[in-house]
Amino acid sequence: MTAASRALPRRPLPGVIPNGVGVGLRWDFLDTLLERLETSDPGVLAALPPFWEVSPENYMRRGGYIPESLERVAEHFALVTHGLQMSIGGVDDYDASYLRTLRAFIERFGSPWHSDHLCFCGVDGGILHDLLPLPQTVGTARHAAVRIREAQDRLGVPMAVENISYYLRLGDAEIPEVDFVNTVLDEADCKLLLDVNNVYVNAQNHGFDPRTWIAQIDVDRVVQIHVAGHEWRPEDDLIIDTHGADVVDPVLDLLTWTIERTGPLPVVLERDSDVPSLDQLLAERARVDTAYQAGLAARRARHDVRSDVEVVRNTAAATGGLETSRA
Amino acid sequence: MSEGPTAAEIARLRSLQRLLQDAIVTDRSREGLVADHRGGFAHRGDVRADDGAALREQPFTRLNVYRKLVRNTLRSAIGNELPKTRHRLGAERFERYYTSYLRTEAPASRLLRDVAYEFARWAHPRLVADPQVADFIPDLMRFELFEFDVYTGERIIDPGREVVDELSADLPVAFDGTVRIARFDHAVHRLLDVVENDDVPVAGSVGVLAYRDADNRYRQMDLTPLATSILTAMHVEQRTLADALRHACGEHQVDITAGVIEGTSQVLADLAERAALRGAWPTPDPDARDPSPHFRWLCCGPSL
Repeated sequence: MTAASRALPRRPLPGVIPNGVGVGLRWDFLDTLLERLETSDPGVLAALPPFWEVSPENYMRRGGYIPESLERVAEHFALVTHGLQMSIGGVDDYDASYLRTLRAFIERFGSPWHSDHLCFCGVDGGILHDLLPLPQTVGTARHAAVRIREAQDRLGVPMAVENISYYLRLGDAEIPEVDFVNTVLDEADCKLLLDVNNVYVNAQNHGFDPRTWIAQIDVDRVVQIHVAGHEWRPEDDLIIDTHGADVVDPVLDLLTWTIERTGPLPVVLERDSDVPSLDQLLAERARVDTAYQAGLAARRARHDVRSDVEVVRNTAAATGGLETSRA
Repeated sequence: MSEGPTAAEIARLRSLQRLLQDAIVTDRSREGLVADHRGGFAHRGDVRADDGAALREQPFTRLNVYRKLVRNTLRSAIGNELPKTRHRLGAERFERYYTSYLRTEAPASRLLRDVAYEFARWAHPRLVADPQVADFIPDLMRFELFEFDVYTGERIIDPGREVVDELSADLPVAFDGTVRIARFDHAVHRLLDVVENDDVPVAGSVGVLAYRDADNRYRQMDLTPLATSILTAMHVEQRTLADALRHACGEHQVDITAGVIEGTSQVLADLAERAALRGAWPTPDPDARDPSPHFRWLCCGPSL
């Protein structure tokens, strides 16, 4: 797409999230973004991401400048919703009022799916506003799957669950985390929001190979990808998924490797603390986009090789010759 | 699709979730928590031995990091909406109240911005009863959230409910969804809008009506005690115009004179001009939704 074509007044297609690298919408740079939507400079508009991700809890049951600004953003961009507090693995009943308001929000902005985290947020009526880990057991996976199916019914859109960063194995893990995630996906028949930074953070904190983890995921389940920055906390001897720093190169490499396997998808750069200026964030988005494009290029190259192999095989079969394989 | 979890699996899940939540919100000392961890949480009675052993095998910091993350998030959320209250209380006392709140009543709303309200509703009677706390601070805390509620209120509460332009004595008045009316025992709304301000507000009952204008700016006006009662009866109690006048004048033991009616008309006309009043509801609706879940507490105070 050329800069000139991107500069034309844009209207998002209902229910369609473009592939490519979007950004999590944050209030810290909302004013700057709104100013840029007023400009007629093609270069300025072309530098903006193809879509934004929004957390409904920040806008639900709210009036004023912030939701009015979101309406303006939605005139120009597709929005995909990413929730924070559904408590998919919780044992308390879902909050009916929350789900009603959430459904209205999703319908208003036309998100084709809604994502939230494979975690719990509290128990006995408590909501602690964090992503708390679930026991990695078959029973918990079945419970989460039942809850996801219920959420899909009540929201009226497909659900995508996100693999979280976890620092503690809550109880005796019957199965590895990746098996836990796969069991949930299969039992709920839902989509995965694959957070490659979370896989990397968990791999570092729990000692496994992130590529082996991702290789065990059914790529057909992956509907969206997250990348973010993290920070090493020596006092905890842990990497913490803060979303407060630039994405590290190994995570970008992991994104490239993943995109080579999944093909084009919507990818979201998340930044929740120490949020920089919009220009700095767009520069960071460009780094992520480079990694994303590298993944697509690698995928094209791999498919070209596979096509070549097929040609050789077909030729050999047609001529009665020996089958030849190429790496 | 296979069957769902068994009752035993849910019970196991619940016990582990309670364990983690309790470890986060408790005010036990670090040493106490370390001892619980070292003991595999056997003292709880509902944690399976294999789960307790698995937790014990992991460093305590892995449990404690959740305690730090959650408590920092909630502390910031409360402090960001109550910066003046936090300043007036001082960091140490604020922390004591915050710690005690978490121990006795975990947040319940799924919206992070509600946590400050939940804290304030818990803390208000305790601050009133605390002889070490200046008597205006509970008012200041409620006013900070009153102002925040005006900034963040939805303008139209029930889009499906029709409003008629003409006011009528036998109809309830329809206010803009951002309007809040409250009484305070101190003129906290007159303090400078600066966090690190140590001025003491004037003591004495004040009535305040606030709303958000078309440019999303906060606006407030002082009300007389009678006007506060009349408007509260209309807005909070959803009484008709005539009933609100009867109720408020009865409360203040004054007659409904031509002057009272004229004054009320002028206030309502002024509010309509400011777009803080939308018209009248064609019929009373006993099930009408409040403009926010905190509306009655903000407008009527801690007695509710």
